Amino acid sequence: MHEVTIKGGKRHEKHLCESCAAAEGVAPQPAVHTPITDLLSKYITAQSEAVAAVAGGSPVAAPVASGTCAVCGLTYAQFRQSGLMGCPDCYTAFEAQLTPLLSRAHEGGTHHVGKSPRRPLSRAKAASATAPDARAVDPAQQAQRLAQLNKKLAEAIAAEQYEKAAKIRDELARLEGRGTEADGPSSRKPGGET
Amino acid sequence: MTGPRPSAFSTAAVERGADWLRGLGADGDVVVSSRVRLARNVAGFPFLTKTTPAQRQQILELCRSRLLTCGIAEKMLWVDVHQAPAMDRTLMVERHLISKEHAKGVIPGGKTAEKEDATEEPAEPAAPPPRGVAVSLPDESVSIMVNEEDHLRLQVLLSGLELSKAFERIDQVDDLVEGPGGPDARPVKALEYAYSSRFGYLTACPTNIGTGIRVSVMLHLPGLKITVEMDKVRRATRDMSLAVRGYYGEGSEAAGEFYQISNQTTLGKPESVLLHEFEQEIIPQVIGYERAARTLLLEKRRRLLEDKVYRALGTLRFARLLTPEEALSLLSDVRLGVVTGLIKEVTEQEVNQLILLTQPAHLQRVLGKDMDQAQRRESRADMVRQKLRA
Repeated sequence: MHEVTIKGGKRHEKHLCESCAAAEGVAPQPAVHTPITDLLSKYITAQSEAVAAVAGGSPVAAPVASGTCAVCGLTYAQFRQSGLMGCPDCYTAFEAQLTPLLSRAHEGGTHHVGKSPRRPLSRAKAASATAPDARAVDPAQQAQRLAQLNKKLAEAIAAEQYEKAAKIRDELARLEGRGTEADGPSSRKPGGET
Repeated sequence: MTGPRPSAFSTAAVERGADWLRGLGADGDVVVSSRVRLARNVAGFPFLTKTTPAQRQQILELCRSRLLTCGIAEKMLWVDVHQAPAMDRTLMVERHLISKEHAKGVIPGGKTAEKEDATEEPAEPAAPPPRGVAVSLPDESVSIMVNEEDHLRLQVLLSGLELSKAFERIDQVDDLVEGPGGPDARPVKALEYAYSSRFGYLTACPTNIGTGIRVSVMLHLPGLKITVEMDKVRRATRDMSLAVRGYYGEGSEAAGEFYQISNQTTLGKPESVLLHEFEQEIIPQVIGYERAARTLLLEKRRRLLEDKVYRALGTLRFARLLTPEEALSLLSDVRLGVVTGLIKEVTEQEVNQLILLTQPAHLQRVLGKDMDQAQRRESRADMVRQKLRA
């Protein structure tokens, strides 16, 4: 730690080790700085592993230990090789593993904002789009509410009201029976894939 | 199913060129065309990597009947790509109606089904995967591929900088294809798209999920190339998570200083924001850079610019052999001469039309005969000489 102060035309230099600098209160930042993306992906990986461990024999489309989509039989390893999903349900099956990938590929985006189908989601679709542990709700009602919120979110982002957008996104996550998994839609990260 | 069918395109339509390459749209001196595409899949079916041949056929039939009856345009052309003559498939790639992959019949994540080279014997004579394309006539502004990487790839392609117009049109087409909406609607034959409230429109590749939208603008940037400023654009676009590609799209190098700039983010960013960024910020900025570079060249390095564009015109007027790449590169230089006002004896439309007509399938169709590569080089030079005769 090097500190240089110039007082009345005179130069004062101080050379301190990190702990002494901290004691003197001149250390500007915590010594270890991990990028937020790394923290998030570590957190998400740990969380998904925990979920996978607990969800051993849970209902359809939940990830099984080896990471296979129960609907089309695609394994996560196969997905990593081809970069392509086997069926719409793969997104539910691999949701935990996908979240950090998606966030990297989409400038931090983790939830859809924008156009939605004109017809209300059919019962089957709405059910497969929600987490297995979500409480029983009327899927049509939920879909409508989600659509409303998505619209509001789009408007907030368009108006660059990011705080408002973050609140709406949290609300969306809660409705879908999930915690907030990543930082806000406003954050830009470099390095989109393909 | 008895062999290839006759061409779906009349010679007159081929010769007329393509509307998107007319150079008549807004900011046509820099912007060649605007394209918006949406990726969609039909709910209830796996994506194409996991479909059985029977399911692919079912998807094709379902989509074809929907696309031809839902009122997209007064007249729609349907081409069964897997049964189309090879020349038609190449023709459609050159007109930007289908992708190269769609022409070749690549099963996503699998191998090419159509023989590219007659000497290549496929290990197992796999039937070409059933796939198709629907095209609006006569303007060809809307084209919809069925059974490409996703079940449906809808695109609108317009001349010049017309992103809002292109988006409005594709949004309308998307609604028509999906079918009647509203809580009371009881669509019998409408399509249901694969969609989740969290991930949006579900696509085979996770890079497309969410809005499933790709906005892409083709720009002619010879000024930035000559003044060595192109790297700045590349860096800036990379920082903004945009892709810069060449004339022929994904995986292609820039040919003739034509570049396509497109978005890569589809999740978490609504269509309206993306369009706004492209139309109000990114593209106008690049247009501004290019025009500034052209002005600089005209004012400070006029002789160099004149030499470049007239040398290109001279070569095109006198060459006896031309490859498609060389033709495109020289036409690009001539186009620069025309839009900067240096070359007055050729119009931008003539140059644009030649960009298309010098490509292999167009050349053969216009001249009405099948030719090998060597013959095409001769005929290409002959045609260009005739069209640009002094």
